[in-house]
Amino acid sequence: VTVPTPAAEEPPAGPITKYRVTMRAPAGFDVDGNPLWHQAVDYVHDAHLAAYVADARTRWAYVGVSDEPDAGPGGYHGAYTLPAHLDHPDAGQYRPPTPGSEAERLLLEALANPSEAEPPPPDLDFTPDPNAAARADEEG
Amino acid sequence: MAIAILAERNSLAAKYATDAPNGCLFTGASSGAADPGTTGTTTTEVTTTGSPAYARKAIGGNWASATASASAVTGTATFDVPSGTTVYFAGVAVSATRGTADLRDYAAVTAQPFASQGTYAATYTYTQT
Repeated sequence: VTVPTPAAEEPPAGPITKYRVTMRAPAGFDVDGNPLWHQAVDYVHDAHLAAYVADARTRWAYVGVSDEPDAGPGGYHGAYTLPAHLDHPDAGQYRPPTPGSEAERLLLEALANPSEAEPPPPDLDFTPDPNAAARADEEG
Repeated sequence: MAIAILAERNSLAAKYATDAPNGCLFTGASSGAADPGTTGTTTTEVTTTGSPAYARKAIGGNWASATASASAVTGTATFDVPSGTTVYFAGVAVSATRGTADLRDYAAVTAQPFASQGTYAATYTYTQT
């Protein structure tokens, strides 16, 4: 893997079309009786939001979508992978980081690290586990 | 046998936190990939290919101070997760360095496949009976 040197300028960014999706599931109570949560935050293109949120609601107790567009920490140029099991024509689609962007450079840098020799495979065979949350609760 | 004395339950719960102060996340589960297993290896730990890169995180709360109360230690750690990753398990480990084979325990959490670079905040609780 050849890691490019940092570009002088980032490629131009277009309008942000992702929205922040916040998901929470109960994880018991603390010693004072306050509820505890697991929380995942992801950033999803508006065209995929309906399918993504419908799927997330099969596992998470709460799923909320931001009012304003938000590209998240990956930024406009970051990689994007629509989970393959979603009910959407784009399901399984992988969009790599924008060529020449800092996001691309950082990905190549990580892949050049011997401990990361295997690139992260898009998860194409994800099967939602409806019992995961209950099992997690039981196991604490 | 359950322990009758609260002070001893608190002592053992604090020991659990002291032994494994760092949280970590794992991929792989019902889709055919292996779960973390019981030997302490971490071959399915989330990769560092995102930005910010995934790293093990110190667990907060009274887990960090190892001061158990009511027989329990509890804390939260928030992880950066790269696009294309599905989180299935949260674990506790000795080292703060990703990939170190010193996993001490793990449990299934609510699974989530990430479309973009995102975050997963896992809450850890250990209760000594």
